[in-house]
Amino acid sequence: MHHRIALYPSKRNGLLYAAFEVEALDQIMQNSYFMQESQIRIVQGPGREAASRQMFLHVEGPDGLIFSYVNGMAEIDGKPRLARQFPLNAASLCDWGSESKDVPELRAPGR
Amino acid sequence: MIQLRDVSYVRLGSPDLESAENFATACLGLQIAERGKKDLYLRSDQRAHTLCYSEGDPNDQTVGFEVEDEASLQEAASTLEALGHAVHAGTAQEAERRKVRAFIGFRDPTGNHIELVVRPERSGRRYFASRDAGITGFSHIGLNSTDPARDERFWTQVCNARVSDRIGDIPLMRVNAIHHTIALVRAPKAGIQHINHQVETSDDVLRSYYFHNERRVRSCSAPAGIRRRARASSISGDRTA
Repeated sequence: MHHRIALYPSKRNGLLYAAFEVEALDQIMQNSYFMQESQIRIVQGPGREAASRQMFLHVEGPDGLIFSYVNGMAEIDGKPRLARQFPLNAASLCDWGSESKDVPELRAPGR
Repeated sequence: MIQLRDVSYVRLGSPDLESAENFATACLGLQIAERGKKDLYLRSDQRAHTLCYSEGDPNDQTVGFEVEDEASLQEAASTLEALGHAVHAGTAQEAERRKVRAFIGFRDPTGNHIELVVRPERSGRRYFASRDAGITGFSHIGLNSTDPARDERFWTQVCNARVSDRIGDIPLMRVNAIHHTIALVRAPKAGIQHINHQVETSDDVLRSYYFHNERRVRSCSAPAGIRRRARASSISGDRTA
């Protein structure tokens, strides 16, 4: 898998989010509408992370921990390659255009 | 039986070609093929045009379908006239404005203006989008129907359409391998209910979703009487007036 751990520059310690794999984009969207209907705050998404091609929906759980539904993460085929550099901007964080309004770790500077 | 091969184009009246152009390019992402004095031709795929805004009443809306050849066209005209539909034989000048070899016009039982065309122009150049919306082509239309059961009989018995599936009373009808090219939606009067452009992947649907969401609160305006929105699996323009 493209990644199992991501380290986010932050002023605090702790877990930023825990992600659960779902079957397909359909379940990302179904969960998105379910959360809206249930008035559970969507922190970001539905979206797709540019680097890993992973689709995501980040929702706010108890005590501020974020729970995520994800699908479609790229797999690394074993050939050695250099890590690619993406700028920290909105397009890197989400190819589709979703933005996180109030989680500083998920935001690009200047937005 | 009238053999429809594919949907060919949509012609829409607009009192304001400038805002129609702005919407079709900056918002939808279509390519301008040609600006006539009173016509704006737009491309979405390899065809010379699939949408034409024509200066006039926004209630004037026409859908064109391709038939095989001029013999099929004449046969279709006879069939329609025998059933009591008034048939307009397109003049050479009118055909030129539609970028087709020949055409006839008539109204379906609801009163929707339909044209059957022969040899619609292709373009030698590939489609080059005005914005990266991922559009791969004009794919289908939703047609208003005052009586979907009656109109379904027209499209499936007078023409070659087949019902692929129904959503409630909405028949989704195919004329080729695509699941549906015509959907009939119950409405009080004739009109085009939506215009669908196919995009490459679900990524494009979501990108357009956020693109339009952002612009709804900013500057993107739709032509008079027409509201547009991104839809699952397509970008559609929905008539609300």
